[in-house]
Amino acid sequence: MSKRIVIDPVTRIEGHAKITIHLDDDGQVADARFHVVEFRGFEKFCEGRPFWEMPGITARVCGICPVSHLLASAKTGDAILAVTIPPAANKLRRLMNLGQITQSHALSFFHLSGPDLFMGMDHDPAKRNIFGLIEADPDLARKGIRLRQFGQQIIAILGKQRIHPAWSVPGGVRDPLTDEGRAWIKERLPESKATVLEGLSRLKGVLDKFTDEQLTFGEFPSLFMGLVTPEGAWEHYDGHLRFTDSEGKIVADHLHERDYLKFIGESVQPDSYLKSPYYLPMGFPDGMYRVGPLARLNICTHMGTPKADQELWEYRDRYKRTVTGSFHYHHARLIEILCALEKIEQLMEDPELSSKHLRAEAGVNNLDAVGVSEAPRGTLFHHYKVDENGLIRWVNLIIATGQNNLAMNKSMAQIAKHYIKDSKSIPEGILNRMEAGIRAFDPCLSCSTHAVGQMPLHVQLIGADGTIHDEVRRD
Amino acid sequence: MTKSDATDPPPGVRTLVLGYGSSLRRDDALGVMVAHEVEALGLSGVEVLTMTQLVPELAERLSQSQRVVFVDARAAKLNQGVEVQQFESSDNDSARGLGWTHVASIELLLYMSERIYGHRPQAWLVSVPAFDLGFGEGLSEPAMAGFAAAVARVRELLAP
Repeated sequence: MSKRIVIDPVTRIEGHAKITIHLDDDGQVADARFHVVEFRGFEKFCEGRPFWEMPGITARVCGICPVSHLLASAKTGDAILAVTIPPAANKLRRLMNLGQITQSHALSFFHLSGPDLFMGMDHDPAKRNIFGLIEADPDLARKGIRLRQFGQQIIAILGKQRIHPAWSVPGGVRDPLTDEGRAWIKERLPESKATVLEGLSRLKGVLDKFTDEQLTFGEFPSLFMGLVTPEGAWEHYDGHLRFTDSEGKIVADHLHERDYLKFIGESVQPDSYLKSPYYLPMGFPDGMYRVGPLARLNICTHMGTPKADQELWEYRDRYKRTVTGSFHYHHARLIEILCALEKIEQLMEDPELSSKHLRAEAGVNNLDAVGVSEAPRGTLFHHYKVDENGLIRWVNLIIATGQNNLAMNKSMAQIAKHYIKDSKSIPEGILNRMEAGIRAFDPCLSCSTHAVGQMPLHVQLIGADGTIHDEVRRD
Repeated sequence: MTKSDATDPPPGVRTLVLGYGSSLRRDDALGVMVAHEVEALGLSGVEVLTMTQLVPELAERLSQSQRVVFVDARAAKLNQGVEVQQFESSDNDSARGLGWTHVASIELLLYMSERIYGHRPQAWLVSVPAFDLGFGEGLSEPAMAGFAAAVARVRELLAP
């Protein structure tokens, strides 16, 4: 079938990220902004499709986090059908999401941020990359790959396809966990846990080298949002939405995703295709909130598994009850991997994962439905409107990276104000800190983008009169 | 992804054909479509993988192969054709990949394959001209010619 929808501007396929640093009349940094100039046009693309196809279609939006879209879409489909899916299907979807969290966080920590953390922000830029890390510590690099591979393989075992599994569908899932798959997961669990514990140990060992970064990489008050269980514990798939503030006070609780338009507003900035959601009752931009690992650990009472809880208490003792520095996304990410592995271990003892009762059957019972789940980098909303035949009339996707957009902008300003002393140029080490400040959020800029090349970074230093004082590109 | 996405390749697999691209971005699907076409040939000892983007854990799989043929779309002008690039040795590997995004480069995968897993396969990239990378499914008309030519070039590379 050939189908084409023209949405301008979509003439290129690479994404581009740009940071602009704005100076005031005195040549001091006044503001900095993070721009994403890749257009996401999938919401329009989905119109006219049967909602049954949406998990498979939206999973193809992104080669990095297809499972997150798959699950949020399937949950939206459940709501259109107005069904409660069988318990086994719920557990199997959870297992896949735990695999997704593991693989995504492993890549972020060991390979994307590892060079900064273990080689240093000011290390020779020619070697401060994954090539240099492999050269310096091939064992760590290999362990990181195998941990990611473990998560990916769980997805493959369940979905049969690692990248775009059309396994989770409205009403449930297609297949149970096989005995062979269960045996493979159990065999690889100890190695995976050992790797994340080593990662935690190594991170704690280098934290003292980053005291400045901890204070300037997005260290400011904001709201935090995510899912929690009915008891308030860490959640990644179901439960209810909670907002807390920087003091740990619950601002809003027991929120249902179907009401998201009452508490989330979406601001569109003229210089970025990334939407900027905010907490509606507090308005824009005061309603800035953060999502993802840092937020999930802040809003929950506890993780709900022994070793992860132990790490959470230590984390809160080390920093504070509500951690407000975005540098600590790294630490939070590792605790989430540990929690995911412990939860996977618990699920491996559950015979219900082999059940054949996996799907609830129904027709279209709701014409307007919302689904939510926690993607590795934060809360993901899918909102569909369908006609009586189940054809999509309208789609709204609120992705995690967009929800962190305001906080990423503020982080850029904070880093620039702290590190840029000479208003005429941007030294490499500062450029790298700005990158690292963004990288801490682990944004999925390639969501909707297949990078034929790589996504270039472009940083501009702009004077009060609009003159470009300096610009740096990293291809 | 097609029949083959297990961690370990089936016994006897010496050659890997890896087609990648987004199947929702028109001609960007060329890599995936060419790989599917090659898979349909049922060539002995040839395993086919398709995916949206190259990811780091492919390095182990590469290290278990003697030859790897990557197939990808390449933004091109109308008079340009299929190109084949061989990746000779790690000497020319640049520091591309996993700097800013989650996407791995061919150079990075080959480097990881050699340095972490101890074996670097022979590798080629067959890049197929793409003219329409907008949202949608199905190839543009000019891309169709490149599709057929790319299948032929991959078959040549796979010849014993």
